[in-house]
Amino acid sequence: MPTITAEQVLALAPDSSSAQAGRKLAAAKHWKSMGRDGAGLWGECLGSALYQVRVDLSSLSVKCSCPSRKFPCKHGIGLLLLAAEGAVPEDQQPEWMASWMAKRAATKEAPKTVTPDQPVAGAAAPDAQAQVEAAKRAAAKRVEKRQRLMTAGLDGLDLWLSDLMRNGLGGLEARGASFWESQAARMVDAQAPGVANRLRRMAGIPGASEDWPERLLAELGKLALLSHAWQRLDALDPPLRDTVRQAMGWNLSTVEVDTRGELVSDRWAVLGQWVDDSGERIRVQRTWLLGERSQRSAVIMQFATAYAPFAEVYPPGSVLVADLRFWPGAYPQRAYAFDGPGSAPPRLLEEGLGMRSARLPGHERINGLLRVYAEGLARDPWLDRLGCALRDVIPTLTPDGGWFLLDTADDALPLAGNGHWRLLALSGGRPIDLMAEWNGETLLPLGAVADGAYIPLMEAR
Amino acid sequence: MSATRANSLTAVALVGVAHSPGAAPATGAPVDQLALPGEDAGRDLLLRAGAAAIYRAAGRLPRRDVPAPDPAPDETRPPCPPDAAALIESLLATRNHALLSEAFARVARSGYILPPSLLPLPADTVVRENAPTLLQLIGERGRWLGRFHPAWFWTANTLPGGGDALPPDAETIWQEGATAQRLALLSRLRANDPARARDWLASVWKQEKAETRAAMLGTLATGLSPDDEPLLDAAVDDRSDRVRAVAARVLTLLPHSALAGRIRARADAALTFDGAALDANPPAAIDADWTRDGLRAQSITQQHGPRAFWLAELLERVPPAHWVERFGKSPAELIAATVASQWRVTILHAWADATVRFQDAAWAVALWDAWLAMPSKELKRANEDRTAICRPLAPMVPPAVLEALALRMLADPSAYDGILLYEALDFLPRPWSLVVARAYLDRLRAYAGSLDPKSRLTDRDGTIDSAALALPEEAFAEALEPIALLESQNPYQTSFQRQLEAFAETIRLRERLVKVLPL
Repeated sequence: MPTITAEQVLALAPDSSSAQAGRKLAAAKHWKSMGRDGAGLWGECLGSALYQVRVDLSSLSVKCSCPSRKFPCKHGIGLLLLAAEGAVPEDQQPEWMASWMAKRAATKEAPKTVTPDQPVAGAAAPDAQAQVEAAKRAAAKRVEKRQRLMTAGLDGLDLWLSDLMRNGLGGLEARGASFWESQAARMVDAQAPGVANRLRRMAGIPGASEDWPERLLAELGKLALLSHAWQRLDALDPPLRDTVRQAMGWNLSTVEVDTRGELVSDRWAVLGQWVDDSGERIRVQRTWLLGERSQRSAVIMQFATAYAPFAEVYPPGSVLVADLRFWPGAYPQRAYAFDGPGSAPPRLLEEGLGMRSARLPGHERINGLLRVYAEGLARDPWLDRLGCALRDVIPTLTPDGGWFLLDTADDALPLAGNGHWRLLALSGGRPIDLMAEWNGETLLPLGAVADGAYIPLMEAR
Repeated sequence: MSATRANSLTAVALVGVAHSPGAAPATGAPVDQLALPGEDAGRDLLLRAGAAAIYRAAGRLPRRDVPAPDPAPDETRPPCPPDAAALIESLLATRNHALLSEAFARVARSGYILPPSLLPLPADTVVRENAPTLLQLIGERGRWLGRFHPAWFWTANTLPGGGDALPPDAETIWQEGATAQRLALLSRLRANDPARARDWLASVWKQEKAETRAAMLGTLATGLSPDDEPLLDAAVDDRSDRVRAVAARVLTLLPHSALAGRIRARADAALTFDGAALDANPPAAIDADWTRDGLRAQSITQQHGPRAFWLAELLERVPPAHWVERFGKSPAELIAATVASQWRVTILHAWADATVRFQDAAWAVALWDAWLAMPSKELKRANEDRTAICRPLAPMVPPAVLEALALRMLADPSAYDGILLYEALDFLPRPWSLVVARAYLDRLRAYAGSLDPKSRLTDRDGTIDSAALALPEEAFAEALEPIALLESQNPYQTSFQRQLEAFAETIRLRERLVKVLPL
């Protein structure tokens, strides 16, 4: 059973008020009963009613009978904190816990639903065969229809772009967000939401910095390259084809991912995670992983509406032993922890980052990261982020207020944003190991290992 | 690739290809070689710009002009153990300032520092009272961080090193440091080498602002000697009244100074003792020299008549030991001798002030007894507050005496008119003794048991919150035994119930604190 630390528990909290409420409940007096065994953790919390909290320790999934929409709720956090303190006694699962665990196990083992691309084995009956054929034809028709819609939409985009270049970018500073939004909306209608997102991001560029024309031109140029690639999709290598399709916002189905996506077995260091809640309804969580043996960077993306939980829990600083299934593409990074036939279920190692005697995989020099990024761009020109670990680096704040990361050869990269005080304190001007997300311009610190301990650097949300 | 070429691509894009006749601009990068037949000029420009942007991103070089910071010096003390750090982190997260002070004090007494992962501490934990403790706790790492962090400049206002030794760059700090830092340096030097500190002060005296002069002059109270008198005498005539007030105050602490002598002479004339009765003959008027000696001409509050005020002004500036010597009687005898005087309350109040000013323990005990014994009627007539006078005396009174008061009031909370139970308990040094703790817990249980379930009063008890912080660790187990309340659905009682829960929670946290940071 993985050892949970208070730090990891607090990183699970959806926001700081939940974390604080959870801390308050992390006192034995609030609990009518509690217990744990190798697989689970449970407790009955005396709130405005008696709430039953169940935790599956293999994935740290929490289920509580309270009506809170936050996830995990304060009761779950409180119980996990108590467990982290070692205050929860070993016991046998009560009925209400055992039945939940059994239900979870059953769901995990339930067979995948049948899809047209995956004919049922031994389904030889002629009308069953005909049904499958009909479903396949219908699917192909849908694909063709979407492709036509997208191509028409992109033709419109190309005209719009050419128009923009004919008249020049000079006037864009004065145009409001609606200028970009209306074109983005057209791309949504054309079922190319990936293009729509790129357009929306561009709305923030004009006037934002001194070199905005250059930045905007670069983004418009990359967008033109994308539409150019779409026009000649059939001429591209299959992996790049997948990359272009996904960049357009045409998601692959689970079946496509499972049939074409590479399966990589490794110990994956959970570098850190952050939640993008800038979207209107959907929160996106990015968890960056780095393979110990494969040295591959992977990102697990989870989506949830406002207060809904993310389905799986990957505590930053832990090590996940899993077969990762990568989305196919020219430079595959997006992945999920595969738990199907032929693979052992994913599990968290008992020792997290920093506690392990094996050194973290990662770059000794900043140039190593830049080389990997350049190689990535060579394969996927639209590559926008990369998870990385940098060893023996020193954060610093220059007198004019710039945050940087230096390696032992005095090479430096800028850090994203401000206020990296905790990182600065951890280092004290001496080399530490940093986990970060690189976007080609700045490093976003996710966590650090100093004095044998992993410290998360993104606010728990 | 040169920047100007890239700019030229941008320059065309800014004005638009329709307004830029001539050859297509080049990026200067190998992407120029890409053939793009059949594309219009705008499309051609965009595709080139996109390729050039990716080419640039792939060829990005790290910066070479960022200086590495000087590393923080090695720590001289070990960080506190991880379970202690975890507890402190949770106290920080819940903003539990009362327990943070205790935790910080324990870390400091155990010889530990805070681990870097707890730094920087949130600004609201760094309050003036715990800044000296924190300065020890943040270690070299924290002071190093203070060089970067604007909210951490308080570390720069405090001297490095700790203890009494002067830092090696003392002269530089004195010449160039921040005012607070210079003051700290001067106080420290004054404790080691009073003469040198005085010379330093004299050498900058003329160029400092009045506010700084006043503050610096105040440091002379430490290590005061007759050699300081000339400087103080000059300051008595300073332009600034703040400086004049400080100079006069410090001079009263110097028994052989001319100023102290003058005040003593006036006070001698104002108190008469015939061997049995002590009485006052306060000045009927004051002269011009009165204010020059730092004596105030009139009360701000106008609480008492002018003669009583002038009498108090004199007496509080004379060491109370002087009266024992002058009249040949003990403090208790002298206090008793005032019984018939119409100025009795004024005299005893002024003596209490003088006792605090000159830190006279013998007088503190005698006055403590006298003020506790003072009949309420007399207090009311003189418009005096028993607690306000006793509180500053309490630290000089032996703990046994304070405990006697607390125990008596725990048995009967209305034993002393004008002192509330929580005030009596707050006089006690913390942690309380086990005897007081037991008496307190017994009372709390009895009180909880006696509450009327039908009462519509909110039974908040003012002592519970401070007891939670003051009980000694030996009493924790007893404090955590459940306190029985009569079963009641009365919403007025839930407030008391919640207070008891918070009390138990604080005790549990302190129990953990003791466990993770044993002394």
